[in-house]
Amino acid sequence: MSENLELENVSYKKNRQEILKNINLKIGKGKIVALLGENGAGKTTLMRIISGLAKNYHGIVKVNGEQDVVQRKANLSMTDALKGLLESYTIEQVKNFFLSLYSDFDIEEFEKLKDFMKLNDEMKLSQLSRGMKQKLEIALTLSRKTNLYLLDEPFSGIDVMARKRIINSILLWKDPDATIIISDHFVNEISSILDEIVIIKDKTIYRHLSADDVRAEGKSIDQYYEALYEDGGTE
Amino acid sequence: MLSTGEFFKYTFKLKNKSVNFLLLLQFIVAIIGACWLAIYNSKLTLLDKWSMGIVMVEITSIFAIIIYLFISTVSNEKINSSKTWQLLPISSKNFYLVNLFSSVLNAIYLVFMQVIMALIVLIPLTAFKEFRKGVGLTYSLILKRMDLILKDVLPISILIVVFMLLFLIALYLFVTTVNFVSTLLVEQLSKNNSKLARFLLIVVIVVITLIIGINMIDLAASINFFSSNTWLQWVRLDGVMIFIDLIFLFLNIWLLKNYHEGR
Repeated sequence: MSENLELENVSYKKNRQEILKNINLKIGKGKIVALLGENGAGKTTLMRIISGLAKNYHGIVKVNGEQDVVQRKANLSMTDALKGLLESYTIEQVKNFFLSLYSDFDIEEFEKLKDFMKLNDEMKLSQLSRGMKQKLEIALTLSRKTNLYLLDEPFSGIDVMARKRIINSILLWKDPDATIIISDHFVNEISSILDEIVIIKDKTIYRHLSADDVRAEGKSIDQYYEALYEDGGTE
Repeated sequence: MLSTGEFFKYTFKLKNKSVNFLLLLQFIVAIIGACWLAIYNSKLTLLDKWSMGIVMVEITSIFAIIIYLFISTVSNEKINSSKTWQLLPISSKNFYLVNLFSSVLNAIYLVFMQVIMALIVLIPLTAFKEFRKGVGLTYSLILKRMDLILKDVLPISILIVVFMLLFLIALYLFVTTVNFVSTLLVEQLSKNNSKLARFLLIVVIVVITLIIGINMIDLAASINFFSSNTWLQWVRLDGVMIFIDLIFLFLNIWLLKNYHEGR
């Protein structure tokens, strides 16, 4: 088994609308993958299906070969806005939540990432700016030692310098076999670390290709992505 | 994987903090209320003034329980509907049961601590001869009627306590069902998640349930379900509550597993 993620004929409807259809995707171990698409294309929904948050979908989803939703959750880590916790919670209390309930949560890794993100334990969630909250989400997500990481627009509120530092450091701490899927609009900034790109368009996987193949054509990834929409989808 | 035991331990402790805070608040309000009553009624004896403390504990207990029920149902639904909590690697069934029973156990803890509070307030009253005399009389009465108490009063009291517990569980289950069903209906029937539509659905579900409940009680009365034998009546009521609780429990677990998504 060399894939960390497999999706077979996955479809999903909500509010009487088809959101995704005929999703077939396989992503191998150790890959960093960009999940691209316009707003409302279904990127977040796809991540929610993979993580088991979205229910009543059709098709097969496997994470590290496991189809059972509890096993999938145990094998992945996803960014989360922490809305389920009280705004009066301090970072210390959030840390304890993760430490108590996730057996794969690495406290030492979290302390390093927390210092890297310039956060401290006494800060309350209500006191954090949007960017600081996203840094906390990234630190918590990456501190879990799992096979698959789902980062859903993790950098949107973070300043450009901090974004560059965080993106460049992902390669340093990442386990060689762990797969990361990043959904983000800052294509240009994450392109240097990408192995593959997956583009969602018209409710399905429009393209799934290697980043090196795009670069071999002499294009940057964001140029390739923009071209798809300018030409109405033709290459 | 997250073990059910570990999840229960964390959730119980988390909810227990708000129960302890509520107890502290209740204690302070009871003291202030008792002092105010004692000062206001200056012609009362010292025994009567101190007894105001018991009265205030009893009155504030009712409010504390109502406040706890409100806080805990809101907290339960926040957990049930939250992405943060639904991402935890635990089955929907165990997730729901832990969330439910950690609140139920904290409710029992709240009542237990209120009884302790009342007993603590009673201790200084033992310094008064009249109080000790009253306690002694009550105790000897109980001893004289011990057979009757053990044969009739105790079993019926146990059945009543069980009924209250099952009713408490039913309350939590019902709130969850309303939350899950209204969300599901809005998602299935409308193109956007309208808050107004959901509110109206909640009102409709609650009204329909009340109408069904009232009709069921009328039906039960018409077939002499409520027996003149008190013991049998409470056994039947407990049986009905268990049945209702199980239906809502299985429904909620099924909805959580198959439809209700965390946001």
